[in-house]
Amino acid sequence: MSTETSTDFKSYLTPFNIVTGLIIIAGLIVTVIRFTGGLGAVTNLDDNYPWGIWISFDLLCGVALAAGGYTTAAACYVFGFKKYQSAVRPAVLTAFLGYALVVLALHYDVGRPWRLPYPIFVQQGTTSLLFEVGLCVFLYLTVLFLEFLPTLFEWKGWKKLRDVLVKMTLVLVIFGVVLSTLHQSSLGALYTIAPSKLHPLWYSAYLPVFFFVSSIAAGLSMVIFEGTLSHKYLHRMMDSEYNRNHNDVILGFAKGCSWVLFGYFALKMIGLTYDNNWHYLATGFGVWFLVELLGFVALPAFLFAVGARDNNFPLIKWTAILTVLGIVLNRFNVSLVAFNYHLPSEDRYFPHIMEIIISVFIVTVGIVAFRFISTRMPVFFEHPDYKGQH
Amino acid sequence: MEFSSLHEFFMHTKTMTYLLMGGILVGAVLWWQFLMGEKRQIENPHQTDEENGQGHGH
Repeated sequence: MSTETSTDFKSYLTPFNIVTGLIIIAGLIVTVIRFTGGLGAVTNLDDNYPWGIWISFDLLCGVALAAGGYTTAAACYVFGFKKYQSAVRPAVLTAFLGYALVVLALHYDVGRPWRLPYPIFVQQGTTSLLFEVGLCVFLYLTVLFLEFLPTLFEWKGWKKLRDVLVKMTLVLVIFGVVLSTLHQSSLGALYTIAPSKLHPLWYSAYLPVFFFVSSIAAGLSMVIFEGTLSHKYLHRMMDSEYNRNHNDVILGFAKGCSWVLFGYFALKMIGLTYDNNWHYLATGFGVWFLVELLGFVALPAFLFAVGARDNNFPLIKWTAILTVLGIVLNRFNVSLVAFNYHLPSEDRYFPHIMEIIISVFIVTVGIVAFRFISTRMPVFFEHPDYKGQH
Repeated sequence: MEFSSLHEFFMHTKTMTYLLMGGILVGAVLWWQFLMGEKRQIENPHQTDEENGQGHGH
């Protein structure tokens, strides 16, 4: 008896559990400080920077990187690429967790989190872009939850409820794609309100289009990246069908992502030309802009194309990481680096360590939740009772 | 480059944008050619040369 107990205890002390456990404890401590001491106790936010890393990373990056849900679902159900079916459930789960954590992060970021439902249910600001973002995220999170529910129902064995929801799949996917188009672009449109604050190289009337198009690249890359990680660490949960389609998904998404990045690069050049901002390229911000554009847009577009042509899977997987980093860099540039660019360096914002802890905590919660769900529910495999019913 | 009026500025930048868009259209065709170009064959040792699409089925 005593031997069994010690074995069970030992099995929980894996490196993954220790690291995530420490991060979650640190996050909970900062959470207590945040909700007892207010925003000032844990952040470096001020009047110049009312939005910090929680908006830049948790919200802007989180929403963009969760775009895998609508891109994969649209590819499979709207455009009819049924070979990507196996990637839909992991992508929808990632998107659902991503958006749920965006909402969780918002509770930390807004001064009075108990008023979060206000703009939806009490006082609608229908002329505000922020209202549109809030409404879309609220509705899209609901759609993602409904899209994910069949997985839960299959796990619990609730067949009738599951069948009702599966019949609604196409409607939900179309609704989700429309909502994603709206709020991905609106997040970019939010920054068109600050033409004097955002550096001209990043400010453009096309910001909504930039955000939307780059979110597609982010979504496709995240599916490749997350699929690679899942293959490495959750391989035991995958059935032969998933494994057979894995390479097709990676090749197809690499091709798609190469095209999208090509288009995104072209759009950025059009934005640059339309505003005649060429002379800024010779400045320090110009060099940084070129690093983002050439190193994290043009280069991955080319590498994805080479990888897809040569069936070079390691190259495609590394390029997916480069693209994800590029999208994070772009969102940081728009919302932090190039924002308030005219301020002296001593007035510039740098996140407080506790802000970073909360962001890491939220990502960790997402990873733990993904691992918990995908090791229990039929995410990477078809449930034996529902073979061929998707 | 100096611009005396907003109209002059828009005329210039719109002209440049149209030229760029023409270049992008040509570039998109070349990109398609590059991306969808000849694939490197994956050799399957369990198949014959003919099945691999290379030989004449000796």
